Amino acid sequence: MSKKIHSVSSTDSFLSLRNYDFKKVYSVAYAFARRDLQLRYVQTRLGWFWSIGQPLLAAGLILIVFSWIVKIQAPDGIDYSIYAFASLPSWLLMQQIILQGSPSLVHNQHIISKVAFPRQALPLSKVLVGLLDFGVASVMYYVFRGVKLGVWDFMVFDFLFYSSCTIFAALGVTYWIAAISTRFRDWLAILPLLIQGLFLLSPIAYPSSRFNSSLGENIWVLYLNPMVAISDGFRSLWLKTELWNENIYISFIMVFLLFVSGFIAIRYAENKMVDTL
Amino acid sequence: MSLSDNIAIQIKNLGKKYYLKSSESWALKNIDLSIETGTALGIVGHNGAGKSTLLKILSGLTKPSTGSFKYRGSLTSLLEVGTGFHPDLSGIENIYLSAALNGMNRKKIQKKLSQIIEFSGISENYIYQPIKHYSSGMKVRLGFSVAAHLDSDILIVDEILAVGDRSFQEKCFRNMEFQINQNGRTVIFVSHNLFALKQLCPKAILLEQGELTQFGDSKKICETYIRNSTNAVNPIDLSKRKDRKGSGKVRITKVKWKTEILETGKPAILHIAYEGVEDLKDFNIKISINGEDGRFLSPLSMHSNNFRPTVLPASGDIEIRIEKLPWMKGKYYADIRAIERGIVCDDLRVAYKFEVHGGHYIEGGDEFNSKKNGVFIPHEWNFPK
Repeated sequence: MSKKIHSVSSTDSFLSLRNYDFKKVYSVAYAFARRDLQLRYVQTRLGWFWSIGQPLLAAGLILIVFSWIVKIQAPDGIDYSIYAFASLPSWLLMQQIILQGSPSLVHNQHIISKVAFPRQALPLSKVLVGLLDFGVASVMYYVFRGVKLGVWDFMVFDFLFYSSCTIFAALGVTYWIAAISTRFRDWLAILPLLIQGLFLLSPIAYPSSRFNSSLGENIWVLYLNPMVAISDGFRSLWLKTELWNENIYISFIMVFLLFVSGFIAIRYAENKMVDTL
Repeated sequence: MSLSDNIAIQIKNLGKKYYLKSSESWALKNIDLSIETGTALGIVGHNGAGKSTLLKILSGLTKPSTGSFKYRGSLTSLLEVGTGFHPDLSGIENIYLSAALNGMNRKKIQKKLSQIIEFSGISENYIYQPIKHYSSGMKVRLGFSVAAHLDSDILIVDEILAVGDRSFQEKCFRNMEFQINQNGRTVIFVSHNLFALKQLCPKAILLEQGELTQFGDSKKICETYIRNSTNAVNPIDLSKRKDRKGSGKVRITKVKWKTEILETGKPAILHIAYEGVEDLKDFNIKISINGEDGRFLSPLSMHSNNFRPTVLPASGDIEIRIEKLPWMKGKYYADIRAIERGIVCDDLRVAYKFEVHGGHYIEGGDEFNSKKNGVFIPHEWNFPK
């Protein structure tokens, strides 16, 4: 009899990782991601073309609004499209994970009330799906930059680092909203607004050097947004722009804090979900 | 973390408290129980007695408020057939999804895929089709096939044998027996089908108002369950019963034979009273008459009898007249359900218990002697021509 003995007690802390099994979390997340991919383009006319079409349309929209209408200029004489699109794939990934992951628990409450799988797997599955689109968009940008600038270098380590930052920050936010929304669905109602606010506050369509507003000394407040570090990070990776300034480290710390606190929040909610959802 | 070698699950002082509008209520209290490896345990109790809460805690869906439990090996709970199925995915894809949700990894599923498909009896042409094109029976069969091939050491099964057609039900039942006797699984089994429960589980527990009141031989437990519930029910009127399910739009308040003494072959009238708030359209009352051992015997249903009044008053009475009472000497009990436009409004198990004193079904015929419950059917004996 060498089978593992599990024990569950009313006094177990939700922080305890004794019964935490990452392999299981991953395998369930993978199954959900497969489901999402299989269902993705059911009953669409253009099907998988949308994997390419979506980032193209997003890029076109930014170009029209921010370059042609608002006439924002990239620093150091860099072409605007090259500059803005550098961080676009990471933003699309962030947006996709938050938008789809946050309501995933509420949307699957029927399964949640009947099967005891690790609940984090649901938001996590959206990361796996998002990574596929992120890969496609990144390749598109790589080719775009290569054709436009004639530069074909690729820094694997930096790319992986900034991609991980995107995932961790997005997961942190998603875990938080998913956990809270099992009790207060209000958060799902304001989710689109949250995303819009995040987009406007993040230096994606404009450079972070435009942050020199009326905030004066309190400018660090804007760096509480992890998307600043991610966006500037990807620009430094693709375009060799300067990354470091006196406030950017705040943004990197926020990536870490968001993920850890979000993880704790969803572990806490996992225990009560069936009773509250 | 110690657990004696022959014990699969050990439960200590388990309890669950819920807060309802600032008052607390205990759905489960002081449960102590050990289940031996390789045995099946039945759980018997009324709706609201704490069965579901106990299963939810054991399967890890919710946390206990007090106490603890330990178990050996892996544990899977099947609270519903086909959870997680998506209508736009094919049969095969749904097998992968459902099995993965229940903790099986892809490689193991791949190995068992052909077995699962074969067990479900779904043909090659259909298994690659989206399951939205399946009949409800096919979906249920697919769901149970996945459940039957999960390879966990402990299985928690809630009322899922009541699915599919008769022959598939028997197949599922035999599969459960096989799981216990051949594969050495430990099974916790909840069912309102007391007959199946007794066959499958040598031992059972009785839950009453959140407490474990009896543990022992499953035949005795089932008898106690029926006796307790009907003894408590028959004298008082049904409106005081709390252990109901359904939307509550209509409540059955009375079920009673008008006939004083019930005799086989004699006429009898069953009187039913119900109370609701508004007029009822497309209303149906379904009664199951079960034998003492819990085995389902006869249905009495308005719609099955093609009795379809277009509108019924919000509250009222209805009578069922049986020209020749078909049941043999013995004790019976009735489950009753009220359904309006396909929505279950009221569901009351063991609503009424009654006794039939034997008699001749056919004038001048002998009484058929048997200790079991039974139903006469009209028939003729002839010489072949």
